[in-house]
Amino acid sequence: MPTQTIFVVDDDRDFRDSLVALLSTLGWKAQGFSSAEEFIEFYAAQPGCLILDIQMDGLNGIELYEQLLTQGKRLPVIFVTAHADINTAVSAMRTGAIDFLEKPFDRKALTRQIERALEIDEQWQRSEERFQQLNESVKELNPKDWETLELIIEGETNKSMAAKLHLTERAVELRRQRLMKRLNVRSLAELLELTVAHRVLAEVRAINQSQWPRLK
Amino acid sequence: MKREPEQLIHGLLVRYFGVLSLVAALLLLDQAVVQPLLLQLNGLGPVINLAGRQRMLSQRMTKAVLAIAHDSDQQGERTAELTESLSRWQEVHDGLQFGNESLQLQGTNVPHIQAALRELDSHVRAISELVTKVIQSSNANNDDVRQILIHEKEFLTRMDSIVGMFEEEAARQVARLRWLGMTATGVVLALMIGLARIIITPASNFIRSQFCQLAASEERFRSLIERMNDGLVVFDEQGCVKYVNHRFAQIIERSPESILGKPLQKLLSGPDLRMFLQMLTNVLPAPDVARELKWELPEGQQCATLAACGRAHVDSVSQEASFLVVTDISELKRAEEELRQAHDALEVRVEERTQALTETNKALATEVRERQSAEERNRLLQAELAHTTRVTTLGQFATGLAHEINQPLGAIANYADLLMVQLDSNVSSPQTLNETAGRIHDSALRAGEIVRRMRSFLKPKPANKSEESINSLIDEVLDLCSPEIRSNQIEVVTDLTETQDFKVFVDSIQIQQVLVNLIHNSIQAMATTGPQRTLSIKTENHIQEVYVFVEDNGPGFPSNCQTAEIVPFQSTKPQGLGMGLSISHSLVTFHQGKLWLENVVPHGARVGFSLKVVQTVSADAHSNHLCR
Repeated sequence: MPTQTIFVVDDDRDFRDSLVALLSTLGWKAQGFSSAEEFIEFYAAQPGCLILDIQMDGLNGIELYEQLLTQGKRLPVIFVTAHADINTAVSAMRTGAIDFLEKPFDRKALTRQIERALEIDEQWQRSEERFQQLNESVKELNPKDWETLELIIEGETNKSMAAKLHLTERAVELRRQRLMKRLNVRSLAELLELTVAHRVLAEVRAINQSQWPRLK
Repeated sequence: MKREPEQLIHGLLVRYFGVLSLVAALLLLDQAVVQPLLLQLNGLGPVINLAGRQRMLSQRMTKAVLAIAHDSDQQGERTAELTESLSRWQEVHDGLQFGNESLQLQGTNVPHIQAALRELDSHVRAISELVTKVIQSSNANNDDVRQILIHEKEFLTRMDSIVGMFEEEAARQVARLRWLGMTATGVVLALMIGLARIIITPASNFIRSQFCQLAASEERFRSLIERMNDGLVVFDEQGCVKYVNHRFAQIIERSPESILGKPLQKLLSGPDLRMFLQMLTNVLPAPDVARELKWELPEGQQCATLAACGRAHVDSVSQEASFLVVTDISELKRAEEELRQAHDALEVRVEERTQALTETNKALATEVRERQSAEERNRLLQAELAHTTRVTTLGQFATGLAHEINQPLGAIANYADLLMVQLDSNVSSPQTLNETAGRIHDSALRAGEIVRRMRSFLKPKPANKSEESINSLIDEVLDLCSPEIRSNQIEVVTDLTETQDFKVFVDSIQIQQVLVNLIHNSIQAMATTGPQRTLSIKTENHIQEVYVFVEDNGPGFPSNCQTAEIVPFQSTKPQGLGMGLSISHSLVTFHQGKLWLENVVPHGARVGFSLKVVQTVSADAHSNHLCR
């Protein structure tokens, strides 16, 4: 797994520099950006997390994060602001942010949220890897396999499946074996786990890639 | 062909006198020629008479001769008789031939009578000779007697034919004269007929045409009078109607027949009747001045008219009669009445309006007094509000200021944490630590600067005026507002060159307050506009005044409040207090300036205010001011 980076996007130079210096000293890899546009241009789905100032010239923090989501790039975010009002806080949290911190903030609170964010990022990265892996197998399936898989998930026996598909039990048994071989599973339990995992991950991805207000 | 009546009459007279002279001539001819001839014809009477006596005388003489011859007794007597008869006989005979005055004989000039008389002469002489012989002898022999009888017989025969001749001659003359007379009478008759043709026919034609003309003229006048727009009534001394025209009948709403011959007095009553009688007695040849007369209508109403009375020959009898020319003025009267009523109504309304106006004036006076006291209260209230608003404005700025201060504070916290980490780790060099501490220091100073700016604005200052540079005032305010300007991503455009700098004698706090208000308004106005948000502050030099403009590219003022008075508590912003512009206006007015609003093209608002210039600030003075 590549090293996680903490991306700091803030147009106040003093604050940005101080935070990058602090995080670097604390042992993380930190990188500062003076505007949302600069970050968007740079970012290409690297692992890590994002510390994002809300009030900036040009694209503001919330707008930047929305844009990332619509591009299908998942990165845990911690919003920071020099002056918070309730509307801004609510808007920020609805994007699915890890936290919302007001300047100046306590170092411990920050490091705790950064650690959480990096953990979430790691999970996201893992599930993404797992999804890609599962997807590779699933891509192998032909329509007949899908048909068989649907019926298996519904809990049909070989006999009832044969009746529904107008096949012999033997043919159904052959399909089942071929499906399990293609998905590289040995038992029915493994087959079901794989299928469910793929569906869940696919759904999460779909959610992440869709418009953020539907998250609630 | 038309001829003048005079010429026609003259022609007629000429012809008439011509014919008259001709007739007179004929009559004179009759008197002078025919009548004397007729009288002369009467002269033949004695001729015939004497011619007849000649026969008698000859027979007497014969008898006497015979008597002498046969009876001698009476010889003497008979001889005398014979002598007398003979002389008378000869006398008549000569008279017949040659005329005799005493016997009233003119002789004859008719040739065949003269010839017959000459033939008779021989017999007359023979008889005369024989008779003379008898007389002389006083005895008659038979021979003589025989001779005498023979001659007498001849004489008598011839004498008879001569008498016949005379009678024939007389008849012939009478016939001739009768013819002459008949001719003359015929001529006269013909002349009379000619006269009729020459004179009577044209005269009668003339008279006929004149009559026709007269009738046509009369008809024309009658129809004129009938169609006249005024009524005309003709009446006699008693007032009895002799003629009315159609219009008059119409005016009094009766048929002409129903009033003909009836007295006009019946159609009038009261003062109108008296007036009419007066007009009747003082009637003048020409229509008099028109007077108003009311006629009784059949339904009991009255019809107002103007009537003028006159006197004229109105008919063929040449009788003088009075007439009335009547004009219907009931419509006029009605209009007059309506006008009067309208006038009355107008007067009443004017009276009412005047009353209402007086009351309104009173109310206005009261209102003016109330307004004055309200304005007084307002002034006091505004003074309080000016301070309140300054604090309110500051409150609005507090948000921006908090943001601005939290930035350095956030940096300070981060650096402090960093410093702590560095100290804990024991690996950092003192130089690194010093650097971190220096950064903390810088950020703290930055925060301090922000706080200082806020304090300088908040610090209560007495309203005292001093000479200030307008550019400095604007610079300071822009500094003060910079957090808000930046957080709203607004581009500021200023045109504050030194040559455009002006010195004004103002209370700097108050003028800065005005600027803060205007900038704040602009920032809020531009919150809804696109990414291009521009705030522009400019100054312009006018004679003894400087104009300061604060302009934005927001939506601009609503059209209704652009030129309207600036009213307190009226705001275009949902949560606005509506005091910003009002207080700015008061403050500018306090400095003898003016404040005005305008919209700019394509969109945006511009607020300008003017301040009196003390003098153009020189570069020197400007620098001094900056040092202070």
